[in-house]
Amino acid sequence: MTTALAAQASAVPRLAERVEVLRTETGALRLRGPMLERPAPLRMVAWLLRAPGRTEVELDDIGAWVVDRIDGRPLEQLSRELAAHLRLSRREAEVALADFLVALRRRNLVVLDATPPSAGPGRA
Amino acid sequence: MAQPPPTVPLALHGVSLRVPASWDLVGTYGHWRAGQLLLASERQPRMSITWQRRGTAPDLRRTLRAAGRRLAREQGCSQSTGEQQLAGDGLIACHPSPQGEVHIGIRALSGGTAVVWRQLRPGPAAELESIASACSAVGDADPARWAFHGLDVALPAWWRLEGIVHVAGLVRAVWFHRRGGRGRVDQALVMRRLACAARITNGHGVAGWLRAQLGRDETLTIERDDTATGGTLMACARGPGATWWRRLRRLHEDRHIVAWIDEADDRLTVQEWQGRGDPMGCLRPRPSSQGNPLPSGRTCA
Repeated sequence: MTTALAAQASAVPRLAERVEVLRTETGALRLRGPMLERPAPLRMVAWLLRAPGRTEVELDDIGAWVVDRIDGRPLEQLSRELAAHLRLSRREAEVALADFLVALRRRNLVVLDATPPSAGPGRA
Repeated sequence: MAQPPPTVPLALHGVSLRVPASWDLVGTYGHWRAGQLLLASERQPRMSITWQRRGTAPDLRRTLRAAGRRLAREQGCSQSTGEQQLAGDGLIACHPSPQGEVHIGIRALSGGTAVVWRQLRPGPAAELESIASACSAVGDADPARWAFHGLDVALPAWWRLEGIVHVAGLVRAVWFHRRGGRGRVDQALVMRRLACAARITNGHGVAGWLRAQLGRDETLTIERDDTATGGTLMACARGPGATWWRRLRRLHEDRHIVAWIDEADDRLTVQEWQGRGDPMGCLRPRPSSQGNPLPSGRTCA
């Protein structure tokens, strides 16, 4: 999956609808997804298990650096900038970026547009 | 006249090559006796390199024809249009395909080593010829150079690579040494190369980072630390014996560690040796040398 994502060099990542970007007091970046819509039986199970009502992840400084640049830039440009920022090889940056975006996409925090958006940045 | 592309060394399992700097090593399979390397560039496969050590002179024509049949099966190429000499001790064949010409080369190198180069997409013969001509191999009982994924070390005879882990920002390779190539493993070597050295050490220095990596009941003794001036750190991590019998005899397990930071690439390299006999010397390559001289003692930059 990572390799397939890395091959989509022209794809443009953007934050999913209703995802909030929050800065904590310590300066860390948090991505907060919308409230999860569960069917009634699962709502009860989730309440019993004290499962969180929404997806929320806290990113380290490299993750925050990448999310700050999810503003309509294609994957290829992002990986090039990441390689320059962290002094990685091009391939290393591509794989690392793809791994990161796959992890965010699995949590429905990021979506990947196959073609660049025609107008305006894709940030939610 | 166009300049040839810059090349970088690639050496694994006693086979040394120079490949274009823009190519990536994307697959390593096999071991000292036989194996395969896959090279790619721009997310496209470029070349497969296979080797085999049999101890006897290889039948080049037969091997070349077998490789040609495989090419026809996998890439839909036609039969070879003819064979030509390659670097004096090899052959090169051209196989036409709808997309262009695909080439296969084979050479018989020292130590009974046969190396086959196969283009994985159409390309010029000169590309394969230049890579094949610069290739060399060593015998079973010879020291060997190992250069891949940014690691570049020269090891004495009978060190054999047992595994590589390569993920974004980390390369880890493990070698075992068997005296005379047979029997039990008497020494082990682990080399790690990590990206973002400044972030990893986080202001605590290499020694501080190493202390944080220690296992339970392990103690670290720093023998020398010149990392602040671009030098190396030499240390010994001592832990309790690995077995009850060794612990009853009050024996310890020592890991001899050498670490350094490549400021230009912001990479931290950690060399760990464990085993019997004298500890392995520092394997840090000298910056001025093209190749890495063989270790001659416990000295270091």
